[in-house]
Amino acid sequence: MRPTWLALVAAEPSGASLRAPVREGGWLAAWDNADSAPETAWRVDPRALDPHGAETVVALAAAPAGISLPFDDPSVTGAIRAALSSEPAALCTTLLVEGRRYAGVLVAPPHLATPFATIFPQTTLHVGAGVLGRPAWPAGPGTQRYVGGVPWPWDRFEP
Amino acid sequence: MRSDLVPGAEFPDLHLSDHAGNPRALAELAGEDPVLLTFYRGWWCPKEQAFFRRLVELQDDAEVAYTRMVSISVDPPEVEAAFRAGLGARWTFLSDRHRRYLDELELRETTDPPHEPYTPTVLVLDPELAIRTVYNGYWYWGRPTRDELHRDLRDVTRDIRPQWEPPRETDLARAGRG
Repeated sequence: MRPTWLALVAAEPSGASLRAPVREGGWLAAWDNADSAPETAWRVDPRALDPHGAETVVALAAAPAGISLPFDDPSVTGAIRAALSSEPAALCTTLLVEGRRYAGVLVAPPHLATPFATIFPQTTLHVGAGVLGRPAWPAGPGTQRYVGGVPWPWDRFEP
Repeated sequence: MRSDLVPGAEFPDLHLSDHAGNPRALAELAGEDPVLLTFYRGWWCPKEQAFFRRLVELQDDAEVAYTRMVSISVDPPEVEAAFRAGLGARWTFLSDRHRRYLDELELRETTDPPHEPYTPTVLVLDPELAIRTVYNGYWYWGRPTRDELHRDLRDVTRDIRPQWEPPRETDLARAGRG
């Protein structure tokens, strides 16, 4: 199984499948399943993760701990529509918690996260190689995918 | 259009750049969903501007109905990107600026040598790229209405989604015992 859980942690994690230092502080790391990931981890589109990925600059627009929105909240679907309307991102995955709740987004290059930055505050991270990839941008115009519980832009029913 | 590209036949998997210049394949864009595929003349054609405003209305349905939309022209990617942005479209445009598939598909509009565009054509495909319906849009009234596309996409969805009929509690219980 490909790692689908991602977290920003203070110290280098020992059990993560993928990990890279973040210039602004801490480590960005991915795990194969929720059991081994920290409680603060988000479910992400597995295509966003790539052990061969280069170092990259991303925008992280994430909710404070304990805060999330329904994925169908108009602010979330509105941000997805705006993202699909604009320049395609090199990387984009929404961040899920508690199964299907929206807790933020990870986007590269950082300026493309603007539609999502109106929901939760955005920070820029310089992430080392070995975690994040450059998946193909979704075909559009879909904004939903419920059954797999895998965050947009994952575009299949099964994870 | 090529005489063998009729309902029931498989549409070729086209490999072209999208409106941002990224290489894309039609099969990849289709994923596991029905596809509304439109060939259009170009940004300059008033008929395309009118028809695409209709498609922009349809995208509000498609975005929640697990349906893909793909549009192809001979315009360069940057022109398609501008046309797409001006319309407010949120689906993928593919650029055949080198006219790679124009003759292979026999979709060259022979009455417009200056532009050498695609003949306006609309197809509804299933996820395997099998053709379900074809509309010849050379004359504007040959193009599908929103209602016709709704019916076509309903038919495809009914055929490809195993749970078109919502499962009953008894079905779920039986599956659990199995």
